Amino acid sequence: MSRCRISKRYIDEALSIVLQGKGAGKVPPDKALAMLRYASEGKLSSSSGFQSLLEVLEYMDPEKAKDIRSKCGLQ
Amino acid sequence: MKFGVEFVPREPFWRTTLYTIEAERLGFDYVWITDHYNNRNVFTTLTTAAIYTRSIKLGVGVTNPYIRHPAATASAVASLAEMAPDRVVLGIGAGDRATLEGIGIEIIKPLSAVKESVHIIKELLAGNQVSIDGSVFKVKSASLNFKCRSHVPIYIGAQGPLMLSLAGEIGDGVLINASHPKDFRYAIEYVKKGVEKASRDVKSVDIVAYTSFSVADDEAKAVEASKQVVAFIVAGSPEAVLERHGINLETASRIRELIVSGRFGEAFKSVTTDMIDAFSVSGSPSSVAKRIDECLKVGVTQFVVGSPIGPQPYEAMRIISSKIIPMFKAE
Repeated sequence: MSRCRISKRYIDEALSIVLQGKGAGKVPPDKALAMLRYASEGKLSSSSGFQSLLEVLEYMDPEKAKDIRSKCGLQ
Repeated sequence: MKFGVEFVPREPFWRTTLYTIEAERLGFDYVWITDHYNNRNVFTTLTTAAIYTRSIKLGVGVTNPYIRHPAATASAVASLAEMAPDRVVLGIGAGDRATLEGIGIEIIKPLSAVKESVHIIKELLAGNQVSIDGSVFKVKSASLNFKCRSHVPIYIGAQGPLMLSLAGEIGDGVLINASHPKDFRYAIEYVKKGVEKASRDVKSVDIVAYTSFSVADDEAKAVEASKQVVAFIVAGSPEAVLERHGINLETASRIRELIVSGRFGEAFKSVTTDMIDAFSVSGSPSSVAKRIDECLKVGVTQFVVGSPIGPQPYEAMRIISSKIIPMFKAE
């Protein structure tokens, strides 16, 4: 099992794309709502919060989501 | 100085909500959501924002008496206040003529319409029964079937002398759509006239600079980002306002013609440095901070960063949070 290495840098990178990137309309509402819950609780840096953020990113920029997952050791 | 941020809900609901969550986290005091029928609905957007935030004030920025009857507006803000007590703020003004006329709504007697609306809304929110035989609205014994849980301050969006004065007379705040201290100085004089007429204290009115704003560490990029918005402002500004800022009327007229004919690229390229200075707060963190300070000195009490916010809006919000807000909160 690979070790999770979530850093502030990757959270910022993902969040920045999710907020400013194209393709927001492709994100299913349930994925968006789950991510909003983590964001509102200040838990995007938690393992499940970050996963939720990446799930949203996946609909907007799949390559970037894959890249961040890989760099963070997330499968 | 309080800080607000304006969002236009033209994107999927969740993105405006996420921006609002971030705005709260980054230290903004207010979020203002615009109200245009062709964007996401302002009350739906604010409802979602209310669910996912805890402290940021939620502003309708701004509605008008024509797109929605004031009784319906009262019901909407009271419902919102039930979800987010003491956080809801209602902005109301005459409305955007071009947008409203496009759907067959004529702006009739805007001053009376806003004044009567504020009366109707205040009475309904206070739990009173309201009757009014106004020149725009006729209301007979209207009341809400539920109690508004908290006070909802009403801010008036104002441009002209009479509306500015009305805001000083009856508003909890005034939203002044401008970016230059010269315009705020002019506007505040009229607000003060209304304040005096009502024997109020000017400190009881939140004087809001509702600006076109753009910040980035790279000054040139920040300025470039504001050109589109400034082009539209120039195109819609009366000659008196252009003259106040020494803007060349021929160039302004040319920009207006280019926009009307859909030649936006040429219009944006025609925007001059003095236009950007007059109609936006754009530049590096230090230059925008200087402008905010000038606004503060002429009497502005809340500074709202509006479109475009910056070449990269989220990065711009982070710059405002880390480099600008602390300078004014420390005072």
